Amino acid sequence: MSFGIPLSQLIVENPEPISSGITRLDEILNLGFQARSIYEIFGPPGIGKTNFGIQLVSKSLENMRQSKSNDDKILWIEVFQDMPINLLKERFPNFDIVEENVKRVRIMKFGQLLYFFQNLFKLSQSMKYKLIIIDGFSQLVCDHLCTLSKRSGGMLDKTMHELKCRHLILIFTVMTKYTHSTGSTIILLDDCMNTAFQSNEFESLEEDYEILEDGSNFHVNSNNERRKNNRHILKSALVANIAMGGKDSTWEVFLRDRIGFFRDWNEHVDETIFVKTKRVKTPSSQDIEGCTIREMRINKRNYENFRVAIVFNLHGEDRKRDATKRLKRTRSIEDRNTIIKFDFDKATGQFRDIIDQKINQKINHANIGSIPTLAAAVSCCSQVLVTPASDDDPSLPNTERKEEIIYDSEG
Amino acid sequence: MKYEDLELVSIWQSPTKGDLCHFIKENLSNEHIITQLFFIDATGSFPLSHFQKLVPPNLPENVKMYENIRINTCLDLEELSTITVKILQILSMNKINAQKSTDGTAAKPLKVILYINGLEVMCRNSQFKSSPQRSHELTRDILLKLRVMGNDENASIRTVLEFPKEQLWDYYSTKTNKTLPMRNKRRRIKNGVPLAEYIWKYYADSIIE
Repeated sequence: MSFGIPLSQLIVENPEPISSGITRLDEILNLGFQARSIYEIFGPPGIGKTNFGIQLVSKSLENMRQSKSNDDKILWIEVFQDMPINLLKERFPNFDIVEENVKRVRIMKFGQLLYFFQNLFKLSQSMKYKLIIIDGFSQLVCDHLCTLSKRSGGMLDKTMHELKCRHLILIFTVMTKYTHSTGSTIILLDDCMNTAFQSNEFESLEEDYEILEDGSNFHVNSNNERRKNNRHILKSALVANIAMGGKDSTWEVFLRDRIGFFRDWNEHVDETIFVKTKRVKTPSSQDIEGCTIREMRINKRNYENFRVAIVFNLHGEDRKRDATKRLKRTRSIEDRNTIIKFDFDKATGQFRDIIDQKINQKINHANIGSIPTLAAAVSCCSQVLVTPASDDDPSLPNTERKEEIIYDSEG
Repeated sequence: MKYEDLELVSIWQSPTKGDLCHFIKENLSNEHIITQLFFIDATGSFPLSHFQKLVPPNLPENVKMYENIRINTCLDLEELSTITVKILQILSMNKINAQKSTDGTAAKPLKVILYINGLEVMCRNSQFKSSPQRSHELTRDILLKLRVMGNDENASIRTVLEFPKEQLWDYYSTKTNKTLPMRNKRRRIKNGVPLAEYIWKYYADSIIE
């Protein structure tokens, strides 16, 4: 008499991880998105979350085509946005494989999704989906919370937070049951929210802020205690919503990894320096017209816009080892998270490592600057730039040239 | 840490993946004694890749070890209770077989390590499904059964419960003679004692650090 799955069987039966197409991301995720797991991907609008989802679908379909197996189905759950099926049509001219294997369903209520997964679990023996993508899961949760808040006539923040945790635990439990019984992977594509922890006590402005004596006339926070709160952070919309609180770890245990997509920029200074002359009127002018000629040295700078993926270490080794330190909030975020540079490759229409792109570019154009390494990528990713919502097309040009005055020198 | 050193019920606070893999390898590599590890988990946290690196599955001497590790996903206390009963049945069967074999060729002794991770998740789910009272009853029932069976000389079972370090504030404050901040005290009065501390006080024999 025995029960449970022997580890040997688990290894044999464990499906291959789903490759993301971004080599470095796959490395960090241990060869890709693992079976029997739930992942969360979040980021600002237009960063390419849906496109990334489509890339995962097409990678799975390619694997299916190579292995000639038709057993693995894919489910795309639409929330408020239609699945961009035309992107799959472009990648698979023979559309039969998509029609056969990719199923779509629209769910617009949290309760519906819960009911759907409960039924899916009941039918898990006959209906197995290798990959399930929920595009807009956080919107569903936020709408649900807003409805609950309105219905109750404005609940307390703490109560809302507890309710959110309870409901998320409920749905993640059903999802986990399904993934473990079928060996499938669930990807949640979520929005992100800008959380501002700055207090709105304007009366105490003068007490808390001071003017630095560097002539900048900017107020800076003089209170060290408050400094850590005076910042804006982009967080997953599952965390940062109307029900914020300190118990998010209760439902985060169900997530294998949380990946944030953001924009960043890298700066390459071209060696070409332009010299501009400018006439400036001064009392000690020596020339005939009463002007001094000033030379302005101008560097041409390239601001390369690219994407970064931050893999948040939700329950990793560091977190465990330094649990007591974390309570004291002494650890920096860089200790726990991994940053990967990637971008949209227009040639292939897919997301790829930025290093690979540069290597390709180097082959094409021998006269290129230094190739950014991962170490450089980590060092340059401390700032996160939010792009406007209109930037929905990932194929937009990602390099822009700007002129910047470096310094001026007389004569 | 060997099987012989384990208490009936132990709490392991936030072990690293490496430590956990070494613990499993150390206890399951004995050829003379069959040790089975039941890894019961709510979130699928078995460190498979780490373990595969430490114990290569393709080597013939490791095949048995991979057979003796059994993974179970369990999301509420009802399921955990069922699993516990099944494990206790296995031990009882083994005990009966050992008593029956009077010809001297007794079967190899079976030892069971029950590793439970995510008990707080299971408790919370049970509270959600039924009631806090029911969830409390089940927790007590399961842990008592495991202690009773562990006390039986012929049936060897040791239970290891994994909990996050944060849930054992009381343990650390008594250990380091630090008093809890007033804000935390107020929060504890409101929210109650964490499950890990409750188990540490009433059911566990030791905390593995």
